[in-house]
Amino acid sequence: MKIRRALISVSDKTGAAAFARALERQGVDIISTGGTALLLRKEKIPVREISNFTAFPEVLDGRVKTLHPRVHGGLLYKRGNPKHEAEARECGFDPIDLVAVNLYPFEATVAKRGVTLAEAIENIDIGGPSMIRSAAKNYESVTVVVDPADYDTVLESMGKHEGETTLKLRERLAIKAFNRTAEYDRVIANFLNKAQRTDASFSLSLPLAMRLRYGENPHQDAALYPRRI
Amino acid sequence: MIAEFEEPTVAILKHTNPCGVGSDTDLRKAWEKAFATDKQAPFGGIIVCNRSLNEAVAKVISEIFSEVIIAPDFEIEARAVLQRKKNLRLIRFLTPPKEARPTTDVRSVCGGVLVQDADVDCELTPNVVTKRRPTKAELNAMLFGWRVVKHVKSNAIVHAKADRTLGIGAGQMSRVDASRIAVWKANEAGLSLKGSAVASDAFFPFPDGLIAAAEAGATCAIQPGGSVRDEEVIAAANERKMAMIFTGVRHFRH
Repeated sequence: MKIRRALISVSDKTGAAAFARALERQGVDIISTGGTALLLRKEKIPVREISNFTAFPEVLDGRVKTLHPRVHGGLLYKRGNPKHEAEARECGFDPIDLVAVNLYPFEATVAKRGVTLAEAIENIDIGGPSMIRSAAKNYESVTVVVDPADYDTVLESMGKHEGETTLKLRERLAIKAFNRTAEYDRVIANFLNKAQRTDASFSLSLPLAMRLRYGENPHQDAALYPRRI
Repeated sequence: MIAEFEEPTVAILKHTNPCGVGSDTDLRKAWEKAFATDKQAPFGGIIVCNRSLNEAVAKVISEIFSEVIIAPDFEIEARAVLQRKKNLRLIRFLTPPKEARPTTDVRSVCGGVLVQDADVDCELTPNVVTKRRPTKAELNAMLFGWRVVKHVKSNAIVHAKADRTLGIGAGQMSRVDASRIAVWKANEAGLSLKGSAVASDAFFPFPDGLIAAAEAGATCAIQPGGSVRDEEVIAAANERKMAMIFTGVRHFRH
């Protein structure tokens, strides 16, 4: 199905304006939040504020802005499922077919010297990971982009398929999305646990360096992940 | 490694390399065969077996100093014997080794972490490449050696009979040295290599490693094959009336 509406809310604004402009030219409605909306408007890209879309104000210093049934309903309802379609209509859920979200820079915040606990906690993104997960769960219909490096791939796929992305691409992006939120939570838990030293498990998340031709022997499929700890 | 064996089997390990492996219908005899391979190295080693440990086996095992014994279970009398040893740890399999084998192997390597499929059993299709075909006894000896050599650090050479190892050459930079060490270890243990099988975890790059084994008494060889000099190695085997099998599967372990 053609992408009709996109929600763009990014902390890392690299390439966001160009991506939004390309989407807008293909007739996609753009919804956005705070800083991203400001940037897009400055670039003269028509954009709708999230509070306008949800008909609910942004409250609690921004802690609650995208956590709204109209956002999550629009992401999660199964396209083509009669029950879902009917319920979505009844609740006034408009479909959101693409989400471009990257998260508050928790990693960068806690990497700073002398960071306070309050500062770190304010940088725990809640709405972002929630949207990413809703979109990723419904990858059958929804495209989720967590990495600016994927903007071009998405546009290319849309260009080739009359405004749609392929299921294969959506699946790949969903895997990346779940990896990203898992990695994000891992960093938060590790940071909080540094002082607490609880019996929390030790988890590693390592980016792929490369897939290898094979492991120790030709019948062993293998990949290498660089170690940073 | 113990998951490779169906019959009662004992393996003695040191620094993750086997010192000796033996199989028999009687676990005590299996122990004797394993221990006979090398009576010096097992000092402070790890003993693994695939049958419940009884008193008779416990008694002979307790004659030497071991760190750990791993078994599916320990009979009460066996435990009584072994508990007299201070610092000996007994470990019971909660899951049969075959089921407990992980499917993914994670290794720390320079610069990162290597994640690979575990080196599990591959369907073995013995491909005889020599003029002479192996006898039934030779085939069994080769398969026993093959099951062990997979678990020896590379480069690895194992001399075996159908029910025991005779000499193990582990962790050498050149295959011929691993072959020489396997022969030397068997001589040290006073074991004859006449009529033995030689198993190699990867191909013989030159005929020398095979010739060293043949001169020591090996009459058959099992190896992956795949060297550019395979023809020379096959010719060397044929000259010595050996039977040789190519498995097509390599088992490097580092």
